[in-house]
Amino acid sequence: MDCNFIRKNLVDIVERGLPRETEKQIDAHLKSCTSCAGLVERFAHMWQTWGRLERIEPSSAFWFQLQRRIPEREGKKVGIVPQLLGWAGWLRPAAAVAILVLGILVGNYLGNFLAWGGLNSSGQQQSSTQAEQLFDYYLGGLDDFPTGSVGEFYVNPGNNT
Amino acid sequence: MMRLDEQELIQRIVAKDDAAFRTLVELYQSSVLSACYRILGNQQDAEDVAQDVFVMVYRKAESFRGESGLSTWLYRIAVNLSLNRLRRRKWDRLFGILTLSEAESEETIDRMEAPEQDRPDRQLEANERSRILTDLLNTLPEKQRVAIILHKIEGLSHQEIAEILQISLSSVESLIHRAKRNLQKKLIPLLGRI
Repeated sequence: MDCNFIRKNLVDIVERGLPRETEKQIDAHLKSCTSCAGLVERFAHMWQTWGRLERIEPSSAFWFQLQRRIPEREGKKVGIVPQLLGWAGWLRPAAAVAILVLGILVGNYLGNFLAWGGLNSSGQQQSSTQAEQLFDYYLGGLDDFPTGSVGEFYVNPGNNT
Repeated sequence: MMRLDEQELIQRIVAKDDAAFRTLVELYQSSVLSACYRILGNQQDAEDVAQDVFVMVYRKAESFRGESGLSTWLYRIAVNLSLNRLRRRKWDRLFGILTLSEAESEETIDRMEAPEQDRPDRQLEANERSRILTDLLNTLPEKQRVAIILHKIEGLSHQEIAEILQISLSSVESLIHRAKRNLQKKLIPLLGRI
């Protein structure tokens, strides 16, 4: 029996939930260890608070407010608005999920639009065929370097022997 | 099992007997309100949900089969509705919406704090211990918190808690054991301050 055991089993010690033999050993340790004895006492003091937690009572208007919430008691039907409001608790998370999914779909569409289409200088969308044509045009321009020039050396290294 | 007088009470409520319904409310409003309050943490929400419990009882009394006691049934509804309210509150916080009841309850708590110099030392200490325990309860995982509230505050047996939460007896014992261990671990560093 050591201080570590006491520290780890405070609840069981205070609630006397341990075997009789173990309790005897604990009592013997507490008689000789003032630190553990103090810890157990403070913990017990705290743990007893369960039975003294503030108990709240219904307000004086509880029954009156309750009656007003049950229109059927007065032979009235439950209106459509209270029924719909009753569903609001389910609609909020559903709406949040729907907005998230919509955001992902829109973002995905816009991302693909910008990646595939691109825009020309006047801000109009170009077809992928036109974009490819532009690419070939600029790349093809690199073939126009004069023979023996530095540009040709770097663009067409295979021709330089 | 439901007692005969409980059976009769429910049958009268099914028949929409107002006096029987009022009797039921008077018998159980404190227990139901207490359970809701401990789970939700503020009186306004607790009263609101407690009323929801009795509204449901009034409307669905015929669905009560009598396999468990009436108080068990009421606690079960109270716990479920309180947890629903708690989860809805988390959603509202997630989207930055502070409900009116929360805002009001924070103001209420501030107003309830009496100036310390007006309270005797012992009362101050007792209140401080209650506050610490309540705050620590709120840090527990949901199921552990409900189990320990029903056991230590409402004084229900493990079997009753198992029926309320519709879990096995061993699950209840495990939840309560873990809750106590968690509270113990969190309490030890605070003991020097009390």
